[in-house]
Amino acid sequence: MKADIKMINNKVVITLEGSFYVEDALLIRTKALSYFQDGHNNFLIDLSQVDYIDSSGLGVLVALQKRALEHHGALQLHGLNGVVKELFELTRLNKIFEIV
Amino acid sequence: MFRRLAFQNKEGLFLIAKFNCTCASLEDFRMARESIRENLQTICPEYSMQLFVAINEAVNNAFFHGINDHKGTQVTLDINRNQQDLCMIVRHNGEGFTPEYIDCTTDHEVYNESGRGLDIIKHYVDSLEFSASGCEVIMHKNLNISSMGGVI
Repeated sequence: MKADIKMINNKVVITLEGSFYVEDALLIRTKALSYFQDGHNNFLIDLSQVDYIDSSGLGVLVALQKRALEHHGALQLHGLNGVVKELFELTRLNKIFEIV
Repeated sequence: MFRRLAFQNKEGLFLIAKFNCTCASLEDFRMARESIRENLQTICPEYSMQLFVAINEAVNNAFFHGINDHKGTQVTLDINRNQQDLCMIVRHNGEGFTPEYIDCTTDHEVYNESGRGLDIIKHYVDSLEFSASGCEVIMHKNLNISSMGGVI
């Protein structure tokens, strides 16, 4: 999976591409948490080019969402489609994320 | 390895498709994933992505929950398809594990960071069974005879 991280208008924008597997989950978690340590707490994760995310990837997004809320920030998701959207719906995670 | 087999019985010509692979580590599985996806597209094009999702979760579970000591252990995947049924078996030679589900329908557990794998598998297959040892997961998908796709 490819991951591109940029700061746009004081928001951490993470654009992912490909399939989000267990080995990617650890990488994204580590990278994203480093931004929390630098004081950033607003995130946008673009999943429009992601064709699959496994349960470990979903778990990392939940962890980041909880961390953002603890820091009075926000985590938004963008571009859910296909199987990825279906997985969010069947696990009801679409209820706890702000999807833009 | 993918194989197509045909044999004759009293009902006529019977056709099956088989795939199997063995992974000694998660890295092995990472290397095998695309081959598994491609073979599923051949074996069962109508449900290939759903079946891949179930397999990926089952293999991850085997590596992370079934095998405590990664040395000398391995995970094997077997896929067998005939006209009515597709059976996927993920087995490992580790200690096994007790399946634990989280109930994603409650607001409290939806914030859990792990435990969704089995719930996801259940959504994509018609039956999910564990061997008594906890070392084998057996998943079945019922198939419509008219939906043989491009397999045979």
